[in-house]
Formats: sequence, structure tokens, C-alpha cells
Amino acid sequence: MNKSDKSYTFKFIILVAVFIAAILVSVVLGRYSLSIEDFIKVVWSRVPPVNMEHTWSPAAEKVLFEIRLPRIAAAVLIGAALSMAGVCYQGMFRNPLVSPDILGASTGAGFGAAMAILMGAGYFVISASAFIFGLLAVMLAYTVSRFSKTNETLAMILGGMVISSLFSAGTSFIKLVADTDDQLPAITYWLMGQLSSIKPDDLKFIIIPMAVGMIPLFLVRWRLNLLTIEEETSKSVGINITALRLVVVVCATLLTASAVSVSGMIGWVGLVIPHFCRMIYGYDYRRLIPATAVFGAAFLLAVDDIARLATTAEIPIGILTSFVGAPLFLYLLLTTGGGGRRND
Amino acid sequence: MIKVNELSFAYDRDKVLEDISFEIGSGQLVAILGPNGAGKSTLFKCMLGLLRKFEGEIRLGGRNIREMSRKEMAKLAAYIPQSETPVFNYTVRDSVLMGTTGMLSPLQAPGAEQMAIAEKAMDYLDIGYMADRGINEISGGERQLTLLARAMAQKAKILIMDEPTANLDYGNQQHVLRHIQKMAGQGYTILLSTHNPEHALQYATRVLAIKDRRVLAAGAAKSILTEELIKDIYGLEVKVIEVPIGGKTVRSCIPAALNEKRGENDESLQESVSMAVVPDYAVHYVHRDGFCK
Repeated sequence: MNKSDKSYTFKFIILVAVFIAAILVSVVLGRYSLSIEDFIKVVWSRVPPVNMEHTWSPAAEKVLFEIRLPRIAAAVLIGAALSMAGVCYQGMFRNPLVSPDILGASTGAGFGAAMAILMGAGYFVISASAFIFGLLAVMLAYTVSRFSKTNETLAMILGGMVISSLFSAGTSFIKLVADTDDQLPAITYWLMGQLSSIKPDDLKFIIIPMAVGMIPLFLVRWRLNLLTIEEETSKSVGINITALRLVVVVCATLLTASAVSVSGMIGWVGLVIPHFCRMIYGYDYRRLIPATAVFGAAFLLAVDDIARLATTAEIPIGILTSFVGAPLFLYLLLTTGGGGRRND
Repeated sequence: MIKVNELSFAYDRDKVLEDISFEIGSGQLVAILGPNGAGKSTLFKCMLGLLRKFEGEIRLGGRNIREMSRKEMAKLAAYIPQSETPVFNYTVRDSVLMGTTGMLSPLQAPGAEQMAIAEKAMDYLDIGYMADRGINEISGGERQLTLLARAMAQKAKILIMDEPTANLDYGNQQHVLRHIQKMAGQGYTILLSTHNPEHALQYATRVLAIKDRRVLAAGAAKSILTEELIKDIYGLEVKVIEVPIGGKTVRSCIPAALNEKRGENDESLQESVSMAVVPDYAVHYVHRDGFCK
């Protein structure tokens, strides 16, 4: 184990500790306050069902399992998913300014949700429609790129731009025709992004696509490094770069679409969490993938705590991520020099 | 080691290579010379299997490249690009380790064995001491050596280099070329394209000259790389000079008699000169320098 391995392990342990602390804090804090002791007892009595004396109130149990834990789990999953999708796309497009919605997953999902709201659909249908349109948008963008004669990644970006603008025009049109009393605010609110309406069922809905998205990316994480070098070189090193790109597109899209489908649009996370992690953990995807996942989860959890606790009315988290992230980003940029390019 | 037989290639209808044939034994350092657009890069892409729609046959290590998978190809030939503009500031070690990816299964990450290969390659090229530095923090020459080390870590015996010294300053060019020469001495077969005939004169054992899509000349550097050949390639009179350095004879070339030739044949130049001849002193200047007779 050389020096950089050791310092990485140390920094990663700190990150995990912060993450666990964030979970505990999030459990305890809230309009209905719970103690850590109650939390451990309730979980202990439920998860491996152990018979014990009920020292807690039934309300505590209800709050914990139906409101607080689902919300914490959602924040963790969505934060991890968006950050992972972002870090993979940034490598694949060899551009650190790329965010998870580069291929239109978010705008597609936004359109799907807006349409479902316009049709007067229920909560579940809105999520499902958002998810499906998110996938559809990326499929269209990817198909366009396959037929194009220009460079593969450039074609993908252009395809994503075109499809995105098409769907966002669609969303605007839906807003125009939507009922201004209840549908329009619902759409606007949905698009802002928030976790307040997360229900346990939402988790069941997103857990599978999230797992299907995260596991392969985690497994091929070394190879993701090869996406960041010139295509001719990576091909002649002996890897199938087109297949690898497809893995990234499919997985990142599943992650983004499932995140957006239950939370609405939460910007900034997928763009800057990868930067934080590169500054702290370096550029190797073997380290970057686990680090961005945990960092993104902890970050979104912390921001969500602010969203639900800072004021009496909830602030949509999509607004807050930038408010919290921007100063943090500036601080890191100024203290670490952005992790390179100092000579140029 | 390398055998190319009647290779032709066209992008849509634009013919880029026609009827290219040559053979290269192992341990040779081959310089490929040719004017811009002669098809050097296309030739490399065909040889690396990056362009598949060529006619003719390419054999590497005795095997037809059409019958090889990307992974098998990677074991035979490595590619070193002109330069890599890194977007992300990987360490030198990680950059070199990337070369070992071809020998791993898709889900595998480099382990101790690959690490040892990478360390060995870095030590061989004298960049071991900067293994933990970022590739954006080192010089262009060091970055080029990193790319060489990556190719070594790939464990291929044929190295194909597209103008490996094009973006380097004079000192770094020589530094990198000397390392390349050292590798050829170790049994690597090296093909490099260059725009600098001096490099070919100094370092190459074989020369392949390509012009107008075809092979102009091929053979041992000493015998075929003459003033006439350089003139044929670049349309430029040169003088090949031989200088004894430390008991060895080093060959190089310098442009010669450029002005007279251009004054005679180059109409556009004459035109521009005649247009420029307005004040008296300019006429003197032109005459004195031999632009016009």
C-alpha cells in the first residue's frame, strides 16, 4: 500500500463517518423529534423482530417508518444516483461541465410528469410517466447519435441537446394549456424538485432501477478511466469502447430517470459533487465512484435537512442545492486549486 | 513482424491510400515520411484496426489483423498519439496503468501484477520518480514518455507513433527520440511518422516515404534517405551532411539553394515580388538576396 492509498482510505473513512452522522442527525431532527435511543429500539424491534418493551410512543414508530426513514432513504439514493451519473458522464464526454441530464433524461422526465399532471393522473402514474419519458428521451438522443456520421460523443451531445429542447418546449406547451388554479402550480412545483412527498412506495418503485444502474457502474469502474483518453488510444489498448459507452448511457439514464421521477428536478448535485470528489479523492474512477456515491448521498441528505427544517414551510430542495453547494464549491476551488491544471 | 500487402483505403470516394506494400522486421525503428495529407495517419489507423474497410492485407506478427479481436490486436500493437490533452489530471502511474487494461477482464481492476508492469515501464523510461504527479503538472516531454510507458505496459511489441515529437521543444524532441531508440534496441518494432527528416536521418534504421497515396520509397535509412528522396517528398532542395560526433557519424540535413529555385519556378512568388517592388531600395534588396535574376 503506498502513500496515496493510505491517504485515500483515511479520507474515505472520514466521508463514511460524516455520512453516518448525517443519517443519525436526519433521523433525530424534525417537527416530531425522536431520540437516538428510540430510533435504535424501534429499528431493533422491527428489523430482526425482537420482542421488547415498548418504551416509545406508537406515533414515534409511525413517523419513523412512514415519513422520516423513507425520506432519508430517498435523499441518500437520489444523491448517490445523480452524483454517480454525473461523474460517469463527465468522464465519458471528457468534459467536467457535463451534468446527468446531458442526454435529456431530466427534461424528458419533466415532460412526462407535466403530461401526467395535465391528465389528472395520480401520484404513482406521475412518477411512472416521468421515468418512462426520461428513458425515452435518452433513447431518442442515443439513436440519433448512432445514425450520425460525426464523432460518436459529439453526436450524442448534439442529439441530447435537440431532444432536450424538444421536450422542454413540450413542457412549456403543457404549462400553457394547464389549468392555472391547480395543475400549473403542481407542474411548477414538481419541476422545482422536492422530497417532501416521498412515500414508502416510491422507494419500492426506484430501488430496482437504481440498483440496476449503480451495480454495473461500480463493477466496471476501472474501465471508466479509459473513457477519458482519446478514442484511438483506448481502442488500441484493447477495450470495446462502444460497449462501455452503452453501459454508461444505460446505467446513468436509469439512475437519472428514476431519481427525477420521484423527486423532480434537482440540479447542481450531479454536476458538482464529482468535482468535490476529484479535488479530494483524485481522478481514478476506482476511488471516484464510491466516493461520489457516498458524498452525493451525504450532501443531499444534509441539504434536505435544511430544506425541511430551516423554515416553517418547506423549501424545495432543488433551489437549496445551489445555495448550499455554491459556497462549498468556491471554498474547495480556492483551497485545493481545483485539483490540477495549475501549469496551463 | 509487420507485413502490409497491397493496402488501399478510401473515405467514401476519396482515395487516401493506394497499393501500399512494405515489410518490416522486428527491432526496426521505421520513420514514415510524407507531406501533410499523404495518408500517414490513415495507414496507422488501418494497421491498428481502427479503420476496417481497407482493401489488401495487413499482417502483424504473422497474423492477419482481420482475423483478430481488439484484445488480441492490443497484445501485438500499441498506439502512441501525437499528444494527449488530458481533461482530468490523472497521476502518471494511473495513466500508465491504463495500458494494462487490455489484459484484464471487463470487471477486473489492475492488481499487483499490473502495478509491477507499470512500475517497470516507468523506471525504464526514467519517469518512475514522478509516478504520483499529475499529468497536467509535468512537461510535454515527460507526458510523451508517460504515453510511451503506457504503450510498454500494454506489453505489445509493435509501437505505432503518430508524430510523437510534434508538440515538443527541441530538447524534449531529442530526449523522447533517444528513449524511442533505446526501446527499438530492446526488440520493440517501432513505426513513427515525422515531419522532420533530420529525425529520420539521426534515429531511423528504416524509412518509408509516402507521397500522393503511394509508397515513394522504402528501405534502409542509410541507403535510401538521400537528398533526392527528400526533394521528391517535400519539393525542397536539401543538403545531407555528415558530422563525426564521438567516433560516430551523425547524419542530418539542412535546406539548400531554396531561394534560387523558388525565384525561377514559383510564379506566385514572382508576382508577389514584382508587386512589392515599389521603392528603389526594395529592388536592390530583392536582387541582392537572389530572389530574381
